[in-house]
Amino acid sequence: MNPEPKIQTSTHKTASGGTAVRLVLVQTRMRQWIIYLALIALMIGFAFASPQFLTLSNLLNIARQTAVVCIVGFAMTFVLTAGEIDLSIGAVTALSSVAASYILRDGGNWVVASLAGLGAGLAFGLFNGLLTTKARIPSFLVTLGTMGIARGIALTVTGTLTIVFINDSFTEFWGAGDIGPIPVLVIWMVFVFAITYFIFKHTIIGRYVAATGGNLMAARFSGVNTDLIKLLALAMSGLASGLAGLLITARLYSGRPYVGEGLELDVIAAVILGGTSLFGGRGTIVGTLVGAFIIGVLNNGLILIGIGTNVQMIIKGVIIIAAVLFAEKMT
Amino acid sequence: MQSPDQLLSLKNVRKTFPGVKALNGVSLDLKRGEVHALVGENGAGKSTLMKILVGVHTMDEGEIFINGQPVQIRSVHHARQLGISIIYQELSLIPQLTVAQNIFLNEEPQRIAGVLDERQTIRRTLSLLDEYQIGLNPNTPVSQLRIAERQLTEIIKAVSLGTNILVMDEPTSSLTFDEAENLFRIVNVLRDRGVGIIYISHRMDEIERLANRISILRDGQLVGTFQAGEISQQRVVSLMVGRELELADSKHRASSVKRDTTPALEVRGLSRKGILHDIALSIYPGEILGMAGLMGSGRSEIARALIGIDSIDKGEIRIYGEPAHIHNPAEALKMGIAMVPEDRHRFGLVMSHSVEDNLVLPLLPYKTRMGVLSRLRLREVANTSIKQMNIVPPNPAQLVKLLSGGNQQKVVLGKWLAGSPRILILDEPTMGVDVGAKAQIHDLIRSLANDGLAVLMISSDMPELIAMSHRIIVLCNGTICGEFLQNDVTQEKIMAQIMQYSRSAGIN
Repeated sequence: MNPEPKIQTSTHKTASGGTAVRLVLVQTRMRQWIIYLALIALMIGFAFASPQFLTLSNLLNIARQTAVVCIVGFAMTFVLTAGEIDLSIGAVTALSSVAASYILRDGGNWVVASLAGLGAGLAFGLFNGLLTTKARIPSFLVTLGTMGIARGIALTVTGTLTIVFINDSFTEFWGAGDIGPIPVLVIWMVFVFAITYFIFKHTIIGRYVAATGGNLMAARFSGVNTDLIKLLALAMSGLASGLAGLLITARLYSGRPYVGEGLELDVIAAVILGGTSLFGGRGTIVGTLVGAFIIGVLNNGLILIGIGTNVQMIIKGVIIIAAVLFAEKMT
Repeated sequence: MQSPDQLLSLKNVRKTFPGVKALNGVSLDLKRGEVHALVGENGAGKSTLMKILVGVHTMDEGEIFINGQPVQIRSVHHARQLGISIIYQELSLIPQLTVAQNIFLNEEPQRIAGVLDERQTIRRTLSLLDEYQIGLNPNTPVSQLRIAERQLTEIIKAVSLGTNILVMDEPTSSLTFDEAENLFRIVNVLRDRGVGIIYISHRMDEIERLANRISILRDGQLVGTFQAGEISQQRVVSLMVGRELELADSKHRASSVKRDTTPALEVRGLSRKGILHDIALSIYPGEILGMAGLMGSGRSEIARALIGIDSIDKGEIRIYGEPAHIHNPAEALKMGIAMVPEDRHRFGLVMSHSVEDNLVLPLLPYKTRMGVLSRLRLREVANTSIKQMNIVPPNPAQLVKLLSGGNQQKVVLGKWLAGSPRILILDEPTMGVDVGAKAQIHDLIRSLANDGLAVLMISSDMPELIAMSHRIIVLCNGTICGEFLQNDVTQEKIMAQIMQYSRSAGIN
């Protein structure tokens, strides 16, 4: 009664495994290429449909309109890759806008005002992070709650009114004007892109974020402080929302409690469209940039060819679902 | 030859999972009013066989007869309709619903179609509970019940469905002595009513008390079926583990260990409430210490406590004589302790990432300058590990989810060895790994021990443990209940130690 060998050898499996690998690598790369191609195709389409589309001023306009989604989206890429989500970004943007404008209206120093806006963002980000990691409440619920809190504070203190101020240093620094032909807003976007791209791709933090979202327990066993990583990611998206609030405020020359409404949806859509996994473990900053521009080009192009905002919403919704469906097929 | 009281018969069942022959032609039958004990070591195929019977898995080959009629069991639901139910180790009730609601889940008494008759549900539950003399309130939510009470609820649920073939998988593993007695009473009532019961257990004294017949599985094959009175406990245990121990490769064992120096790892009084009690052990440089025990005996918990994943209530850990206070795996690695966790899917690997990203993850703090990664240095680390571990294909960009089980396990090992630890903890290092990779992993561990690495090895694969270890400690319910030296250990001795302990624990 000799026991049979329990296990078969698996040499043949590795051979077929090799081709499967190549296929998947090609597919992931293809997915990345396809969103680039989609952006180019959209631009070519709109260029034919509307003569204004490819003008420099219109392109810069698109960049200006997309900058805020990009900046918050870069931070959101960290959050989603770590396996969390932040729904409070739009509301925190409004809070930052209101905080900074109050100080400016009362003649405060513009640097102080700016720090107040960034501080409000960072504080909410840390609050989200601490509740998620220490109280172990899912970030979806935490940020659903803080979304209401931040928006509520902004609406209450302003009595829903716009706060007008005059402070040229503030508005020029944070993106109202241009440097040469380039909008300051776009320079901010490039700046944040460079930093987040570097952190995500070339530092230990980026690796830890991906490992945390890819397999929380394996990351913990590997010595990753997964709570700290999640806290960091949520703090980043808070800070980025604070920055976005300042940029919007400067552009509008006023603080408004309604700014950033629905921003979270545009941002999440851009990040997912770019190829970051909604379930964590995989993310790309370049993809987010491209995803945001696809949405930006759509917004702009559809207006140019005379399609109203109501129909635009439908088209954007369809594109997002199609993109996610496509992503599931590809990976 | 079909006897009229034959309830169930499984013939020549075969099942292969990718890379593993789980069942190799097993036949088993069950009579009306019989308790048929099914015994075997972890991984012998008991669970697979039962999962086929209750419709979770489909068999590759074989036949199933119920009351003499051939059947194809298509799903769990279909098995239920055929009168087959299983009481799982981890129970399958809905915690938010009440006892009565759970018992009649999906079979709810209705006044007219779609309208529930709550009163009827409770009345029928009460009469079932009375019938079996079980003192439960039908309106209590299951979440408020103790494990034993949930188990009784499951049994009543099975009975209410007209079950006549009942599978019980380690039913007493989390029960107190009195609760177990109550369960035995109900098992006997069910038997008297003609229900056939397949009873899986590691506890020999229970089997002796309850079973009419005993079937022994080993390595996916039926060793034999015996009348309970005709076979001794000792004989059952030795048939379970196999008589010829495969010690053939123990001559390649790592060289002998000097125990007159400072231990590499010394643990004293390690306790974690309700899980580990006063664990003391030491491992010397170059020694492979094996840890045996049943699932849930506390083996993995010791490992997790040592690297700081779980906190400890009490205890002292010394590493080469230095007191160590370890709060997380990063600190453990800094002190030179690395742990290869069990279950690579859950704890070992980020499946969607590349071989390189997985290999370098624990080392990142040491391979970066101010947190900035050097691609070149990481690639170098990865390539060195790939070569050392002989990972196939040798491509650092390969996604680990596309590797074979053996190569995935090599990545897990490589990931921890790349940090050059002084103490290595291995939790089931060769589970689900093919023969070739298993031998490579064994050779590697031996050569590392020869170079002075202290190894703590947890394994349910007893021939492996005996062939690899210089010394083996046995864990029972969170305490060390036995220790054997390499030249003095057999599977029988280890199993007997475990059985003896659970017997004495059962009586106390």
